[in-house]
Amino acid sequence: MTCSPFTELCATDASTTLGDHLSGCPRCRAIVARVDESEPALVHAPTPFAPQPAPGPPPEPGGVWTFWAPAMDEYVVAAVLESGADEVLIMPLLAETLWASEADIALDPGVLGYAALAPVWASDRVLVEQAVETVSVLSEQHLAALTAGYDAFYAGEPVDPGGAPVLSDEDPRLGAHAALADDLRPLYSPWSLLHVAEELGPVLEQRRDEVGFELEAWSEQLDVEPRIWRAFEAGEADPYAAVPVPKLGQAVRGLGLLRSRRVVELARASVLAHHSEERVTAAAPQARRRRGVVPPRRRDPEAARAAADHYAAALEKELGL
Amino acid sequence: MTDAEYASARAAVLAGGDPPAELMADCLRTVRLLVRTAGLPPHYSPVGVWSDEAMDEVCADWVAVRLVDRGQLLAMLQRAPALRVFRRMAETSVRQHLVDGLTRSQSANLYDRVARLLDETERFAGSGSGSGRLWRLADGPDTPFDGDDRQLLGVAWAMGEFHVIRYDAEARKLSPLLEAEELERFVGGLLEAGTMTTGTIMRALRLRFAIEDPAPAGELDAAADASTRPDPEAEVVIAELVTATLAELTTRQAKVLIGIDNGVPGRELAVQLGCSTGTISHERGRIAAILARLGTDAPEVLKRVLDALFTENA
Repeated sequence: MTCSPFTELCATDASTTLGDHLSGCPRCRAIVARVDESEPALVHAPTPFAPQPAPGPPPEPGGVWTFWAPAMDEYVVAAVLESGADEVLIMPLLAETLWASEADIALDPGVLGYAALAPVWASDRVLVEQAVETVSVLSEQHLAALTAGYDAFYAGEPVDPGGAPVLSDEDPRLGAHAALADDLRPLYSPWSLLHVAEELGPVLEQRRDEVGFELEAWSEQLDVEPRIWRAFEAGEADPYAAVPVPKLGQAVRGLGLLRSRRVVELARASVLAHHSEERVTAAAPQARRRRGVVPPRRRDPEAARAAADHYAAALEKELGL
Repeated sequence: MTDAEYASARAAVLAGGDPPAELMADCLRTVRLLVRTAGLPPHYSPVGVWSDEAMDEVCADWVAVRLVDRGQLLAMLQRAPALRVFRRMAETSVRQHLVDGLTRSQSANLYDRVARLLDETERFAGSGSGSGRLWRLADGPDTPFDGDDRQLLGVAWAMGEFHVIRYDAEARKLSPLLEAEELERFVGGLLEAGTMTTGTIMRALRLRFAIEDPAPAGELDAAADASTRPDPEAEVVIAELVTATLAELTTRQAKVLIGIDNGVPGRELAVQLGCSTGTISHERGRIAAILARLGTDAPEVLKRVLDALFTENA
């Protein structure tokens, strides 16, 4: 029985969807209980500006970076295990080592300059825009150890070399891990908010629901017809044709989503999925009229791709990326 | 220090440079603010009072031990993007450093308590002799615990939370760490995993509660030598002994002690406490043994222990 990724443990329906696993895993059970209890009231705040990322190459596996999130006033130091164009898989590195368990890997002071603990169970993905600065680089040996620990943990196998095992629900380390998970939630939230769907419209709809904005009032604020915004949120409208880029930028900022490549890619996906040619083909019009058939709009993949690229480039500029 | 100066200092240290003087001056400011505003008791000070020299000494020790030797300055700077966050982390670190300074040299006292607990408690049974003597629960498993430190610590953590006296402001070198009932719960919980030597039990205590090894005997002797103590220090030691004695007394022993002080006959005390006169006699013996270890401090400590018990009962 393997543990779920951190973000799934922090989902609002985790206690039902992960019920089977939770009954047999004291750590995940403690985390879900803690997160359920401390679910903060959603306070809407426009996205703050991210710290200026340090010049240089983006995060790569083996790098130790500081990571930022809008709701955290401390940086989180973490090792990068995998990196992609718009996201990074990280494993936090904590300076507090007291609560080590079998799902944690201890790093001696020679690695970072101070004794640290890698909580394998608290690994997950963040947006690449959350990376602030590189503070160290792991040796191949240490990267391999952390990666192997990650793979083992999520395969339900022992982490080597892990700390002392948790043997009972009474173990105070479970409470400490749950509290740490609660603290780390804001770090992973920007990524998870943008991964509830594969198009931008439904992502914005869910976020708007969470912060409690009514569709009519929200559309009015954006100066977009409610009918059009509703169709966009439902994943039925082409934003290229229906939603001006500045309005989309305003929506992203207003809903407190992180300005990121992921947002741009979601917008690109929306255009690709729904863009169609305006012109109707001229073939056999009379025959169709006789049968009462309205010819479908023609899908031109090349045109859709060009529109998606154009829209994405404009949105990227609008978001200041 | 301004935010801009902090940002510059942070960047310099993260790039591998030495911490600028302004940053270290801000650390001293944090220590002074903590001492002046947090109401730290004087016995946290290395000299017994919070003078400027004491604050400088604490700061120097904290910087040397934590910030430099353990690399905590780098760890804090990496995690603190702003000066206010750094100051908050620094304050937590100083506070922890001061608390940890109170925990040294507990092991000798603790070893003695564990040995007596095993010897004197009926639910524990021993076999063998010397340092290899194995202890087990009278109704527990008789197979030896054969796990390594990792497994031993797992068993120790599995018993849940314990009230740790050493975090109390009044506790210092002779702090008993755990109250009598808590210590028995800890030892009993360990022995449920298998038979163990006293050394293994002490190892579990050290791992679970992060206790340092005993200080040199000379330090303990000096701390216990009343004739050479200056008055403020003597007060502190007496207070520690009172705390230690109160924690060591079981609830029944405390009641017996109050009864003795009130001149209640043993038979009547037995009726009041719902036990036999033999038990009262046994408890008197244990109390006497505890007091005997206090040496010349016994009369003063006993007086304050009784005051505390009467206050508590009132």
